[in-house]
Amino acid sequence: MGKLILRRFLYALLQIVGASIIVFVIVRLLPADPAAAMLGPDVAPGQVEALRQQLGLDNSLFQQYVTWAGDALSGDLGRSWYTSQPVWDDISKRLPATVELVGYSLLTTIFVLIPIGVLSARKTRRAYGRVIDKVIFLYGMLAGAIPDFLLGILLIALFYTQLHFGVAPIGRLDVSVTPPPDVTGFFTIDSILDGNWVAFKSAVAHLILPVLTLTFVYGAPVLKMTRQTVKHMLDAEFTDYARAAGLSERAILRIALKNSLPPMIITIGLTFGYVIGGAVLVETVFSWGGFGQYAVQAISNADLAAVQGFVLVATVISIGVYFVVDVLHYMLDPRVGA
Amino acid sequence: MQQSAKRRSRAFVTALIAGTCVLATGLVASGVSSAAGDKADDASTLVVASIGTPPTVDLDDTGGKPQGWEIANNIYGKAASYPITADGQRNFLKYVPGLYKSWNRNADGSVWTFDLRRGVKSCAGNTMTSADVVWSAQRWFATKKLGALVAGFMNVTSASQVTAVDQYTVRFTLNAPSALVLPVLALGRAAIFDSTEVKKHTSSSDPWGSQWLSTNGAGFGPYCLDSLTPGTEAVLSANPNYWDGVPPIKRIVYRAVPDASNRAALLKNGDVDIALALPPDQLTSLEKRKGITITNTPGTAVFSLLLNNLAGPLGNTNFRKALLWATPYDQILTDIYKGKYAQATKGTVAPRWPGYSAKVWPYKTDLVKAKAALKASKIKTPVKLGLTFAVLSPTDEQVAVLLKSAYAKIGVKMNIKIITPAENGTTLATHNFETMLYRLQPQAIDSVYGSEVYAGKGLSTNWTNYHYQAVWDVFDKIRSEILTRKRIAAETQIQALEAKNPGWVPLLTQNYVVAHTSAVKGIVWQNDEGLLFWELSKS
Repeated sequence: MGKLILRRFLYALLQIVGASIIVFVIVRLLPADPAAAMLGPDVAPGQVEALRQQLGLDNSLFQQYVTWAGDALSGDLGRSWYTSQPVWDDISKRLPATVELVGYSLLTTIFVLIPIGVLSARKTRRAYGRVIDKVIFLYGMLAGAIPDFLLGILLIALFYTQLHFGVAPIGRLDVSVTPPPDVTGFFTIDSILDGNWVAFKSAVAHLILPVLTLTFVYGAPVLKMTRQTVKHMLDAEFTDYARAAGLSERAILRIALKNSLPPMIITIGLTFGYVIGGAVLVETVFSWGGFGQYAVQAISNADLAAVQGFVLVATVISIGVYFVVDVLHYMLDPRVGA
Repeated sequence: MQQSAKRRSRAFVTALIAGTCVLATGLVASGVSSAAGDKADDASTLVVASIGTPPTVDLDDTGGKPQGWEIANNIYGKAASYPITADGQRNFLKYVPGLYKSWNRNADGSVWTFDLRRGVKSCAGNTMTSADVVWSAQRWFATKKLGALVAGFMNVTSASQVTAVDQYTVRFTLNAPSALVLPVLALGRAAIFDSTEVKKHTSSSDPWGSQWLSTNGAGFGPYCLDSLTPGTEAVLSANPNYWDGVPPIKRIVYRAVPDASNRAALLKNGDVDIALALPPDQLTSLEKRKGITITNTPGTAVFSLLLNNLAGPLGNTNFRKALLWATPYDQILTDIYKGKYAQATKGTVAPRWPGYSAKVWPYKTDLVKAKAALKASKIKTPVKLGLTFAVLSPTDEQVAVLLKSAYAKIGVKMNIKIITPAENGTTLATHNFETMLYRLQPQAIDSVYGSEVYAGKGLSTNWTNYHYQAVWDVFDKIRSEILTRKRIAAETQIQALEAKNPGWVPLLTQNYVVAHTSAVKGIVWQNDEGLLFWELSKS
């Protein structure tokens, strides 16, 4: 176990370094010149070049990367020219909003879609079994076909604009609600800690549509994988043996579920990465003010330090999740460590 | 036993469905009640839906950041401003005192003396003195940002040119006379900081408090910055010490709503008082709605097709004239701007610009004249040209497509190239385009400056590489003239000369359009197109 963790940890470090190099190079291939973007179009000849020198943009890519990586190791991700703030300060202010959104989307996937997948995997001769089959097939097709941001816009148009049945897509809280004191940065938790039920209610209400959007689009693979895997397990010979041995259907289902867990956990881990990516546009649609919206703004403004900071933090989070998934997978099926 | 398992399984499913229903009902109920409580119905609070929150509120660092200057204007106020006339417009030929109580200049206009208003207090409670103005000028030139740029318009190029005469008097000694002193003060970019407060937040690595000022206000204006949650909202409250009395609206909530259709929906549902930057389609859908008013006034942003006068056939005056004659002006106005959110423009400056004269500009859509000009140019068709634009507004692409189709009729094939907003500056500064859609909007309002800034010899903002000695001679002759009457006459002369040798295609002038609830009053266009909250009221 210790060896596996160490090996995976070293892989994770290599992945982070590799990702940071790739992103560093790609960001610098963007057609926009950050010095020109900073100075704007009303700039005297020579000023852009002077600023490029001041920012070290005239150094070789290797020199620039070494400088950036050295600073990043000491916790300095640079300064955003657009906000004039250290990038880490900008990110740390916005990250909780994204983690809260992504977290609830994953929790909804785990606690709603997985049980549906498990229950729908059971054999039945009744008509509703076939209906469920078709519904899940249709859902899978829809989730794969509808872009996340479009679903978000459609949900807002339906529930908020037409039916007047949802909260305004105006961020994480109503305008009239004061945010709870910052403890975790998650409004749902901080409002409970503060005993501020108005803020809690508002935070929950504002989470519904974006969580629904992300869960609908990114939960489909988890649902389908759960259903297929559990179904496969229920068709397996060991299940026939268990049934012949007189075990209850519930006990059989539990055994099937336990055997289905490794691929399900891997799928959930992969889904996490996709949800983080999906949050970039969904946050913009719901005016969420999170980490993803910051990335969109940074890219539009050629804010190199901010883009790199975003990608580095997103990479570390994703690789961290994959690391946990690997360890859990090993714990459930020690053969993978061999 | 199997029966029992089935029963338990059914009970489990039933419980799951019931639980989900209870949860959903609870969430929806909280959503509905929450939505009801979200309405912007408090007369002392104004809720504004904008594209984003200000990336910074340091007025000196708000160049190219409209949300930044919109909020910072309200924190820093203005040294002087334009009076509002009886018809609800600003008179750009007159000035009323603001933070500066009065001013006078020497005979040739090279030395200006300003008397500061007494008893002006910042949100921190510090009194404004000449030391604040001098420190601010030092900061303009140390940080070399917006303050230094606009001071340059006034021919003030170093901090030593701004001196304190006494505690409430400051003197600006100009390199040469400039007609732009008062226009720059009315623009409000030469920020006066509460130096006592800022100095508390400086350090050896940040001697001018730039990091602190990016998220905190230190002005003597009508509003104080209560909070700035990046990407979410900025909240302002009225400055209780404001010299002109506490503004009617006590609290401003400036919310980031990046999606235009969401901003329109929020206004429709009464969740915000003002929805900014809506495209024409959204405005049209809102204008007949009860309780919503569209304030639609002429602006000064001339939406233009810039022509790089050094790029191939575009160096030929007759070829440029052919493009001007072939441009579908009315179609752009009608189809894209719905015939009401922009105005026809006969010249390179906006119809409301001092010195504008529609009589001197002959160009309208006329394919016969376009073909004649093309023939006179002796340039063989078909000609291929690039048409570059950054998607700064959803209408830009529609305009590009219309132009492409119109110019194809005279044998000019436009190849559309879309760039990111971040590439805009680079593309303009390096003249790396053949033709490019861009909004020309000189912010300091002065007749001749409006033309010279984009056509002046050697200026970094002469993006089209425009060169016409007759026009430059007029610029040289009038540059140091400070009499408004003479400058306006010169501007009309410049427009006539530019018509003979046009440098680019002025397509139209965009209106300043703000959608808001009918309860909001007092929205008046001003030159940087930001809202001045202290002028607004809400019934």
